[in-house]
Amino acid sequence: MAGGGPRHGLLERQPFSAQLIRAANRLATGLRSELLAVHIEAEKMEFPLGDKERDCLAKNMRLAEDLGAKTLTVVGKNVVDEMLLLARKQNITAIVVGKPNHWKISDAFGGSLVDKIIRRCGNINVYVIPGAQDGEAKSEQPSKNGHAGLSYQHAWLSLMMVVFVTAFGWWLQAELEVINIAFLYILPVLLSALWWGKWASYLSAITGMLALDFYFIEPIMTFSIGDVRYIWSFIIFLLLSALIGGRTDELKKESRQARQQEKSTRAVYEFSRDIAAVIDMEAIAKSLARQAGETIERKILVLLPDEKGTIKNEIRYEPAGGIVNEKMRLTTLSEAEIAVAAWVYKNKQAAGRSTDTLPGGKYLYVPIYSQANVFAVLGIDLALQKLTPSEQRLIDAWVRLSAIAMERVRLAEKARRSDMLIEADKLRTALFNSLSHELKTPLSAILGSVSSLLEADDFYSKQERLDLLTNIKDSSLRMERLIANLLDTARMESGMMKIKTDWCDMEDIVGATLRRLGDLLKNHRLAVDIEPALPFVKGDCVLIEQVLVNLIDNAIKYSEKQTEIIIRVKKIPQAVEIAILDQGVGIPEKDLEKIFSKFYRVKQPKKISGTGLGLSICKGIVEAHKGEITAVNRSSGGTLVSFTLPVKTSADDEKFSCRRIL
Amino acid sequence: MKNLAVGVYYKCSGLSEKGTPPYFKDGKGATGGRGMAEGMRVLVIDDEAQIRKLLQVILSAHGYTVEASKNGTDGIARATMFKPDLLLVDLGLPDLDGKMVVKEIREWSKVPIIVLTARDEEQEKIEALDLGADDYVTKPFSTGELLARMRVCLRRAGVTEDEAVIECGDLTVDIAKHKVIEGSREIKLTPTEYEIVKVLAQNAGRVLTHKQLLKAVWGHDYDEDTHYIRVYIGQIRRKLEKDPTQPRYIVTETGIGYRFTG
Repeated sequence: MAGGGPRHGLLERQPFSAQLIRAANRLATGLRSELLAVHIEAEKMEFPLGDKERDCLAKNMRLAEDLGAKTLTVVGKNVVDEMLLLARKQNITAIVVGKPNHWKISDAFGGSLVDKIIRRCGNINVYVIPGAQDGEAKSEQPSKNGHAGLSYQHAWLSLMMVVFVTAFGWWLQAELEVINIAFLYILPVLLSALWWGKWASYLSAITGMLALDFYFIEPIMTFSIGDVRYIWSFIIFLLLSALIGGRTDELKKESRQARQQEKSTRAVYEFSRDIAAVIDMEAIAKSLARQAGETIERKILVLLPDEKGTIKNEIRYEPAGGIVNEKMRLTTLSEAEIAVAAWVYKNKQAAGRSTDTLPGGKYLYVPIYSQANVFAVLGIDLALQKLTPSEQRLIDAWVRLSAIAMERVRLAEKARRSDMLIEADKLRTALFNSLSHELKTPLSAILGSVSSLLEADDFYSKQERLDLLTNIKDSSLRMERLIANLLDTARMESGMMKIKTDWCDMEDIVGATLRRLGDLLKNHRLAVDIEPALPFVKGDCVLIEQVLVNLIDNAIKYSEKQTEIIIRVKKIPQAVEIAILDQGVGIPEKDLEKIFSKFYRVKQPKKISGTGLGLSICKGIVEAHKGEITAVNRSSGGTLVSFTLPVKTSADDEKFSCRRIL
Repeated sequence: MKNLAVGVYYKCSGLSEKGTPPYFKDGKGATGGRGMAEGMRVLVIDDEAQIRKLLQVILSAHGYTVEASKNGTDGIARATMFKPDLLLVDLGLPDLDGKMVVKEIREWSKVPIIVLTARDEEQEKIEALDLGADDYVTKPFSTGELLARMRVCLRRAGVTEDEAVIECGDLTVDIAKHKVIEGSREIKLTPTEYEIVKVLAQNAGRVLTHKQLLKAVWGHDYDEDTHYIRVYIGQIRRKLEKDPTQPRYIVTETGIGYRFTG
């Protein structure tokens, strides 16, 4: 913090009101000073903070942060002392306090909080804003769970206990002294404090005291007291009861709060552990949906945007079925709900049910965002039940944790992308090197042959002319194959290669491949071994044919004439396997893994033309079909390249065959 | 959809090369002699000057009268005046898509159209065929292949009545008697199988898309039903072909459809 500059303090002990914060902010802007929002929590509170207050506090703190204020929470004995101490330490020039709307009894002695501050502030300006405390922020103290007031049932049970003690005392009257019976009356006070809270215990105390007076203290059966000293006994009894009742109730409340706290902490901790190592958005979103869904037992949506920032995907958690939407398509939301979610995504603000913005729908939408980015939107179904404040706080914590995790994923992605760019750059260089050689060689041959023929047609014999023409044709074919491979690679790289799925009969495709290769095969012995009754494969027949062409072309290129090439197609579990076996030179063991990468070519003593693209294209196509491609050396010499194409399950087949053919 | 059945007696041998990709062959055997297409008028619509030049030289040398146009609009206009017997239309035209040219011309004429495509995209070819093109040739093409395709189309257009017997190499499809004979043995086919063989044979030398085949045999063309065609073709090949993995009569045009060859 820079010292010396004017600083503007906003100090409040009660949970801030939004109105106060905004007023202070306007003032700070006017005075061109920094704003500091301070919450002072008294060590000894008149009453512990209820859920609503805590909630309101958190909300207001966030508001203050959003407005650019620095926030502080201080715990101290005396609010005014702490406030002024902090103000001096932080070099505060002005204090803004809210003037409470209600007059308190304590204000009559020593003045209200505002009075005290004004009296002791010295040279600090004090601004008092009226109506500072939000009426709505006050929760129905004491807050709900069990210790809310006194129910008829609990009053009844407390009275019954008193009646029971009275009957017991009456029965043992002869054996017991009055003083012992009086002790017995402590029992209902204690138990009702433990079970039903302090009001029940106070009731037991008063009725117990009356019963004691009525039944056991002379004169019996009247409320009058014979011995004045009993008055002291009653006062002590009441004091004791009040202490026990109040304290037991408080302890109970504290332990419940501690349990609640522990549960929340665990929920947050579990979630943070779940997403700690996750490296993709979807998994984080799934974790969030599951964690939130399981803990607060409501329908949860996590909406993810596509690259353009339109909300396209959802992950849905249903209390009954867990995460149900595996395909991630938006399915359940109406247009209006999507519009709300889109607004939340755009404006980084919660909206929807239970907020002031677009409250019409079924869901509450909370943005998951960091400083720079909005990653997703969390939707919580509030159609049946509103959120409790503790749930609200939990959700807040999860959302922040998810935002951090998603930010991390985004950054990792960015880093990876820049790596990919470097990789792409290397690729481009390799491409140019390879291209210039592979394209120029056949081109020189063509140009050379053609110019010879043009310039001196008569000079060459018929056979020589034929040789030159054949040379032109072969070179052109080589260029054509190269260009086709380059185009395929480019298409795959740019993601433009679209798989057009259709039913493919492998027997059919093998036939078409052999026909396409035609004369290239004439120097090798070909054996085709296709298992009968193969299931059809769902895929792009043209691309699969391309894979086969490339693989067989390779087998031809890398094996001697008159050797055997085997094409074997068979059914394996869940897939069809296509293998090409040759008796060629084989692949050095260390290269087996790399031959499917781009531009990789095995170093050959014999010069064989090629770009090193064919196999990488094969791999791309096979993997796009969710298959696998591998190469191994055969024990008898030569190479076996095989790829698999997954087959749909029999259930799908049945569905198909059940349809009637006309 | 064009009526697929034409001709009275039909001999399809020599229409197209056997089992080899077009440009791996010399194409000499299939081109026939000069002048056999005497007087036939061909309109070439292609924006590439070199291709137009090539086609003009080759086709003129084979006796065709050639007219060339470099864009779609001009091509359509010329088609009305020049009244060609056959059109060669490039799919990648600068002004309007070649498919649109096919569609417009089909609105008023049944003149055979062969589309030229430099693209490897099967979808384009299928669309052009389904819009009414008679066949396609992929660039780069060999002269032999192009001339063979043109001859099939021209012969087809010249015959109007249904043929009774179709002979393709050793295979005879006797439409009148509902019989398919390979060499001297009669091949037993189920009614659907026979129907497929008949439709393919009636369009011998010409590619039929899966859709066209479905429509001709089953009367509808739901895309997902191409499954059945594959099953039937497999069965037919096992009965018809000596080696079903390297078929001779029913050849697969991968991703597009089937072609019946002699």
